[in-house]
Amino acid sequence: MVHDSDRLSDLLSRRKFLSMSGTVGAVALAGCSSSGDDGDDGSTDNVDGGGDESADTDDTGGSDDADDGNDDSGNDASLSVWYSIGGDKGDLVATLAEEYGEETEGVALSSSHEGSYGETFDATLRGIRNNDPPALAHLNAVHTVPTYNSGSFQPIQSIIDDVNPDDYIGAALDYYRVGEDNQFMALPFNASSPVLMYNKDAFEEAGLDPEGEEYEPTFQEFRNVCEAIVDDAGFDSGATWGNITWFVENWFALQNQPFVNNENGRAEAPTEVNLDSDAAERFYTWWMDLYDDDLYQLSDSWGDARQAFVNQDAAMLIDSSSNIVAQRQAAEEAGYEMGLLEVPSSEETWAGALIGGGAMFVPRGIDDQTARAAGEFAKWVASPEQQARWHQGTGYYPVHKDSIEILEDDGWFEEQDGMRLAMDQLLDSEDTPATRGALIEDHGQVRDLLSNGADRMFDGEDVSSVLSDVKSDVDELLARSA
Amino acid sequence: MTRIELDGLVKEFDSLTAIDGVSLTIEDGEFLVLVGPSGCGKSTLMRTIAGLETPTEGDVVLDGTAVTDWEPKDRNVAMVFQNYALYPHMTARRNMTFGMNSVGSFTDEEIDRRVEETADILDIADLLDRKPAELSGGEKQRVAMGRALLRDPDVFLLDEPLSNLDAKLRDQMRAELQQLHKEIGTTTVYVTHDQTEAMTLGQRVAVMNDGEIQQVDSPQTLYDFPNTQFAAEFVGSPAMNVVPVLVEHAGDRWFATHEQFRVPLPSGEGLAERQFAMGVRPEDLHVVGESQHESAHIDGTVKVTEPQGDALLVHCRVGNDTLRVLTDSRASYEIGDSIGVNVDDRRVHLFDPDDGRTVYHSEGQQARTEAILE
Amino acid sequence: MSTIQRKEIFESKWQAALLVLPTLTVLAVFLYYPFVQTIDLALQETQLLGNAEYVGLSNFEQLLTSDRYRNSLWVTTWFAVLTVSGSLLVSTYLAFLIHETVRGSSWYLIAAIWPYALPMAVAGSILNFIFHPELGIFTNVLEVLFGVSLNWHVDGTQAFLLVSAATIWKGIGYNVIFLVAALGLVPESLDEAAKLDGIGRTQRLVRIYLPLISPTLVFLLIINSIRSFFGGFSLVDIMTGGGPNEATNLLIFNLYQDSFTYNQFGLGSAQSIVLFLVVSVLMYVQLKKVEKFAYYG
Repeated sequence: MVHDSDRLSDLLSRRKFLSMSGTVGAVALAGCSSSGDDGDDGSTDNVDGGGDESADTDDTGGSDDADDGNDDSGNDASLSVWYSIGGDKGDLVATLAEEYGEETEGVALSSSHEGSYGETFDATLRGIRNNDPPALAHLNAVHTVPTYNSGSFQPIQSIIDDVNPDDYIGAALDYYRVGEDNQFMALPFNASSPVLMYNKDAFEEAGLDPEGEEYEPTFQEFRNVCEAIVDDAGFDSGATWGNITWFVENWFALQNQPFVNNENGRAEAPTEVNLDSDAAERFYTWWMDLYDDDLYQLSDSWGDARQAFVNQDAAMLIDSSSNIVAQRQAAEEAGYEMGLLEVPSSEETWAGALIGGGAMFVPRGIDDQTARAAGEFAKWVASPEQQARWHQGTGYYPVHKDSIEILEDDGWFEEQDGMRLAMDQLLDSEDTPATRGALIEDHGQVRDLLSNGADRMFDGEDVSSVLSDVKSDVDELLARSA
Repeated sequence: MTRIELDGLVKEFDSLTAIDGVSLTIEDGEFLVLVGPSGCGKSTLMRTIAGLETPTEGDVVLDGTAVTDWEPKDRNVAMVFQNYALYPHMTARRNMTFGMNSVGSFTDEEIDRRVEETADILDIADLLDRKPAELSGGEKQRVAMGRALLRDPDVFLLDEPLSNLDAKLRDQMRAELQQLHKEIGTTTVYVTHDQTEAMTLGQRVAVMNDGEIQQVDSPQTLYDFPNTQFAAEFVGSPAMNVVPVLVEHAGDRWFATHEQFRVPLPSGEGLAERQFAMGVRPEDLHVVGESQHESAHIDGTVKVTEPQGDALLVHCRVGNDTLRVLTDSRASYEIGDSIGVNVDDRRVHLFDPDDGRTVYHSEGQQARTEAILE
Repeated sequence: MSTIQRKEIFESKWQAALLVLPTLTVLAVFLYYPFVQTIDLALQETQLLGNAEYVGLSNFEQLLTSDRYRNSLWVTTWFAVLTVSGSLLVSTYLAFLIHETVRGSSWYLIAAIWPYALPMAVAGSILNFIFHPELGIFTNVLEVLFGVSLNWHVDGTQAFLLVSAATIWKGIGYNVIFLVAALGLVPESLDEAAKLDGIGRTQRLVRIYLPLISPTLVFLLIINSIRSFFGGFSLVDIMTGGGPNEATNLLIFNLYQDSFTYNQFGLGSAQSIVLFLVVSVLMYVQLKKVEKFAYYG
């Protein structure tokens, strides 16, 4: 499944499915006449064609942020943005969009939350099929290949050809580079990577340095810390995180081991998953040993893991950096102090963290003016000021390099203990095929196969035999979609 | 063989009192008929004996043992239901043996033998392999009887067992029941709303109304000396005439005076000068010939005639009341004819108009005692 | 006589056709057309944007050779057996208890029905919470009382049993409504006759009531079977997501995942046809074979 799915909107979409499966499943049992309606797909707030109602904005506000590349257009460009983040973070997205709409002349902007990344992707595909796509779709990193292969999206680099790729944090932008000309399909908006959050009070109780300065990010050291926490601080377990394959892919990147072959699928479509690598064996063995020795608590979902960390069942949590701000607040309310450390890796190599999160994609089938306006908006939300603000509100890393300066000037990193360290994991990342992350057509399905495999290991099956089973299943899948 | 004692039984359902203080003893081997209109509590009383209802107050005593709190199955009581309650998915044989097999206190051979015997008695040997749906009403009745008999119960309870049968079959079954009771001699309680059935079957008949037993007596006593106006009117067909009278004492004689006529009473025992309800059965009224008309007690006008085959029932208007008179079936009366009617003054009953109790039988207390002793 | 009359009701065939037309239209639009489309889709390999090519029966071939699908079939079979028999047993016993209750039986009836009235999504979320292996309020109780340690996020058997139990619990209300009504139609005198015969409660339930309510039981068997194939989706989706390691991957969930998560509509349509055939055959067998055991007065 796609990472960081919003639980409630997930449920809502399942309801939609239920009404649909009525037709698919019970169709010839003749009795049930419920029907899946595809009718409400594109009916969100996007207005077709050049709307003749101007957005009557006054241009007193700063038009300084956006490069005003579309001043020459006579009519307002009608710009619909579909995004995939809900909750407080989603409200911030809506606010950003609203502000942009107000302060930018010539653009009538409407934004709508379509659900999870997967749901936004589905909705966008339906929009394209019905010739009514949004101008901008906020999709997940794993959608890079499907959008490219479908031929129904235009690489955003071809629209905003005036940007300098070097302005953006390499690890964030590089994931979206695809194809022979290595163009980036999308402009990143929200970037995150796995980070290690820890309970400082627990560290102190366990006789460890609460500031974590002695901590080395290695598998062995991590295990030692877990043991100390369980033995000396009286915790049920040392650490927890969900059985989420994005984390596993991150451990591939950390050990500089491409997840799939063909340069992590960037040279050509991958045919093999590298589950037979030493890196895979090392990581899984370490993970299962932690579990078998009750040092690691398996969590079923993101929420479960966070809950266990807040309840102080576990003293360490591996989570998305996008959750730092919220998690720190939860820790405060629970009465302990939270710190940030590097995710451990093997001692052999350290290449860098894997990016996750989302980016702005532009579908085909919209006129050039709208596409340009979409590109400008994508640039604007990726601009140093907005990214600094976005980072402070959520914990997602800024994708623009200049944001860091703004944040430094603001004294943000002194205020947010450990944030800089977390960000350095990304900034210090080497640019290798492994750290760029894998490009796979059926990325979601591959992730599910791996998390099922991990389930089998937790259930006691042998690590290497499960890995070889899963590898053959994944390879079969890759062969099918190749 | 069992003697049943009911001691001050009361059964209340929420706001309704179904049995209102019944005490009654049913002797070992007796055939007692409980009769009363529907809703009088007779079925509830029987179900209380069976253990299907728990009394609110009072006790059920079988052979000196209070069984009030016992489960139905522990009382060794067999019951035949109005609708027979045959298990529709089982053959007649299975219906009869189901309980015995389940309880397990009989061996298979014993059960087989008893089924054969019972089937012989009831003449249902050919029907044993049929299911209830393939049986006629009378046949179902026999199977239901067979099921009850088979277990050799201490008490036999029959709840309106004949009411779903046609008239001819009912007569036949009635005779068979009597015959059967003579043969097996089990204490039997029989509930019916049909007073004819009650009179023909019972050694003793208990008349119930409004949750109370009005009278328990032999059929003839019940007929001749009803304890209450209710019993008097309920028993007998056609029903007893009841008209308001004023009892008067003139000279040394007592009279019951109606607005239209006056009947002399043989004695004044227990009487006072006041209003009573006078009861006289249709067969104790006689139409007098033309010649004796002058001497008749009552002058009436023919209102309706009902030929009954063996007799003719004449409804005649007397003042504001109507009297039913049984006459010779061959007599012919036209509506509107004026007739003279004599009252058999030995067969007059007087009821207290307030509580309905019988105050006076003109045949006297003496005769009544004799009747009971017969 | 009646046939003559029937002919005279309508003046012409056209009038009759006109009257049937609305129903036919609804059926055609919402049932027959989607069904035909499903068959059509099942023969194609679909890409993301609906570009598709005809691939004959290869979707079906893929299903037949897929371990994942075979496992899903197996899981669904067990799920159906367990939930249908469990649900019927528990509901019958509950209905019998309610039937026997003299006072306040309608309250018990309501209490038995309310889980059915609870939306699946809500029920699933609540169960997730109270049976959570680490945080659930029942988890400790179970451990203390029965020594069962809940670990269903990892243990496939436990997850399967939990989802099955939840499905049974959810379905009880529906069955109980029918069964209480059916039990109420059995003449009370039969029960009383049996009591007088000295037949115990269990025997009365098994030997008297069950045969007499068998038509209702057959009906519920069929409805429950259909539901077990199509209805387990919500709980699985909310509670286990088909896992751990596909231990709760019901056919309907597998179908959903392939179609809507992995965007393989062709494969999903093929599964929908397989599911339809499986259930059709099952219904046929049940109607032909089990119906014989039902007693219709």
